[in-house]
Amino acid sequence: MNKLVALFLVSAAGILPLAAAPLAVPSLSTVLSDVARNVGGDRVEVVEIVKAGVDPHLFEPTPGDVAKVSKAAIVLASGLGFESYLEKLRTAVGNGPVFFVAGDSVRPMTLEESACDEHHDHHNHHGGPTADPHWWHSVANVQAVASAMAAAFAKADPAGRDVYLANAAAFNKRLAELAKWSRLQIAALPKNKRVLVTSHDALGYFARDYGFEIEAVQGISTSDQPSSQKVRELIDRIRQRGVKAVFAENIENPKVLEQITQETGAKTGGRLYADGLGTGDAGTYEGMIRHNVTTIVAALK
Amino acid sequence: MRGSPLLRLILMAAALVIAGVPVWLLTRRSDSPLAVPAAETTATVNCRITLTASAPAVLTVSKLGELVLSTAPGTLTANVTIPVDPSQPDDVVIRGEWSNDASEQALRVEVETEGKDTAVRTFWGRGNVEDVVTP
Repeated sequence: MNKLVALFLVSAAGILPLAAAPLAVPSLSTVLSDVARNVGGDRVEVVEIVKAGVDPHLFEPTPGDVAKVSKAAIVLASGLGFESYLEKLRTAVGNGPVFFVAGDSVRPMTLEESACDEHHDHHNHHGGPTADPHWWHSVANVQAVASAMAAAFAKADPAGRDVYLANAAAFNKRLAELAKWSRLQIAALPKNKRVLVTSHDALGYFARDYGFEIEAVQGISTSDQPSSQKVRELIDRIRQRGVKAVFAENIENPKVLEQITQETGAKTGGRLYADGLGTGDAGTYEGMIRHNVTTIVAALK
Repeated sequence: MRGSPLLRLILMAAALVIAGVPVWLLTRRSDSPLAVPAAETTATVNCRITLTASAPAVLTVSKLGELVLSTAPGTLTANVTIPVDPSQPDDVVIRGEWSNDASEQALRVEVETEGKDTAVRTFWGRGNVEDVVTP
């Protein structure tokens, strides 16, 4: 008790400045929440509007979420059309918070560029032109976003500038190691086995970076539903190519995946985190990437 | 058509079995994965990989988890030639390992694939460097 009183007296005397309140940062993405914690450290308090396990394709903010966003200085959004409600949210909160849109910091892949299969229809349900919004599946993109986020935090909180820049540099160094680790793991897979049959078409950036082809059951959004003809064509291609495993995520119709495994003899390779972070080991960005790479290599090897 | 009911029963059962076997063969669920189409034979080309270390080291090259080059300690340069599929070249893992990590060391990797320009990359690290190159 005496120590507390002494500390108060010392602070009041101006010898020790009282700590400023952390910057409140609402986040519309679980990946951005993790990046913000790494870049912001103790100087930011991340408010997760979209939490792990929620399908962000189907998420809509509640009035309570809008209230949290309107009180913040800076809001984190994925962009590239991932949040279909983003413009409505901007309008609802007015000129108060600054929106940090991560997609503005990366070179987006168009859906035609993405490694998804040429037989698929490229519908963009996010309202944007044809950009693939799942930018975080390229580690290099996350490095670019971390640097841009540090600059955005420094603008909102100039006193913390050096901390944000140093934190972003340290985080980016770890991400470079993560990218190298991924390369070394995936090097064990022959190129002709690098075919990813997934629930929905979310891993285009990953496919580009590591030389995979994508065969997705659904389109770019989890709300896309495959036609029976599309499923039949996919089954034929999986048979022809001798694909060993297919991967589930937050698929809406697991019967389709069951049908594919039964008719092709491919096994279920495990669950991939496509639209955001998971829990446990996959509760951080680095953990999610390690989980996905390990799962893919183990199933296709 | 007159005859023993027992004989007619046996004949009927035999006919059902004869007709049923092909149907069963066509419709049964196979437990084993469908046969993977035989890999098409593709023409390969030679790829020569040359490693040069900034200080004596153990140098290794591996492809799809198998060592294709491993030198004795104290090697400055070594090379290996491997066959690669030019349309789908598999990744190659290169590694250099030094006996101490007191200073930063470099490993220069030269990849000469028939029909392609020579690619040169240099990797830096303390104690060891390991990375992936694609012919």
